Amino acid sequence: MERIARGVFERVWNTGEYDLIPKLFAPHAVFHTPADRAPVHGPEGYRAFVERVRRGIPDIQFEIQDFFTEGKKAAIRCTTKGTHTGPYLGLPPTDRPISTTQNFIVWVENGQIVEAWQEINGQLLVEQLGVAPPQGVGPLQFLGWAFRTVFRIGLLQARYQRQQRGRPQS
Amino acid sequence: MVSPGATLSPEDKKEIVRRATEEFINRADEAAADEVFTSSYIEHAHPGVGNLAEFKVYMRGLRNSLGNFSIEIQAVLVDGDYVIHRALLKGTHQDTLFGLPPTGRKVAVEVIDIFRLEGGKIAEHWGQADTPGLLQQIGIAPPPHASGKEVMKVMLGNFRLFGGLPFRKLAKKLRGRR
Repeated sequence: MERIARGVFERVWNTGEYDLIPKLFAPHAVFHTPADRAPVHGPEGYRAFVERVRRGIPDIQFEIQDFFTEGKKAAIRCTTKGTHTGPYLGLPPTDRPISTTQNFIVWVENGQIVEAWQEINGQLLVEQLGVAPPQGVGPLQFLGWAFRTVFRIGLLQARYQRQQRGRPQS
Repeated sequence: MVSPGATLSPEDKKEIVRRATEEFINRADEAAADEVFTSSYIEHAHPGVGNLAEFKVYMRGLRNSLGNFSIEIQAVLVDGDYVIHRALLKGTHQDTLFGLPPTGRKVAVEVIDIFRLEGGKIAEHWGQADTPGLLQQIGIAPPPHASGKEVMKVMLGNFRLFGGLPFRKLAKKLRGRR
């Protein structure tokens, strides 16, 4: 059990060993994540998910804080650190460091993950990326914040697109 | 009721967390909270909330913001002194939440809670809720990987939600003066 969890976080996520994914995830595995609208299906879906997040946060590092297991069920408490230097969740790169906590529940059958659930401290994440609404402000200040944020993200998006165009076609 | 010091079975441990969830979290029984949480309880899930007294105040506010607040346990696992569950958090956004005015919308999001037990009581808690999902259901945040059009739609919704408020407040004030 712990070998599977370490495989997912320390090898797939931290070092990008994507070839391990089909060994760790069953062909019919389902992964529930707040970072996508619908559950992610199968090793291929999971690989696409990891690649997308690592494009946004290429230096992402998971650290397992606690590992729990009972029969076929496991739970993991971990921390995630990295820098938002690529497009992520529809946001252009903000170059900001992120550091958040996550909880996972994983169901394993025949040595492979069949279903998993992820919850992230997303509030912390959006605050660090500078896109969280400020708390306890009045409606007008909130509107001011909303316009400033849309403007800032628009500028970052324009900068990112300019950089992409400037890059030689590969 | 489990006597402290007794050897607890995994079922006993699940029962302690179930009781904390149903009696304190869902039914606001603060006397029950004193029986199921240790006096040195440590809360890790919410910023600015560290001990049991602060957690009680936090829960009062949350139950007020989300009417008919409930946590429904979906799956549980027990490992030593730790109980972990996946649950559904439900409520109706009926009062200010995260500084957002009430929208009347119903929300249901997943949470994963980790509890550490000590002497038959809950001593520590780490929880994560799908807060982005909650903000999406309230209508204030766009879904992940939203298109520009979807983001604009949400921002316009925010404008309607927040833009009218200063006028409503002013109207209320004027009515109060008469």
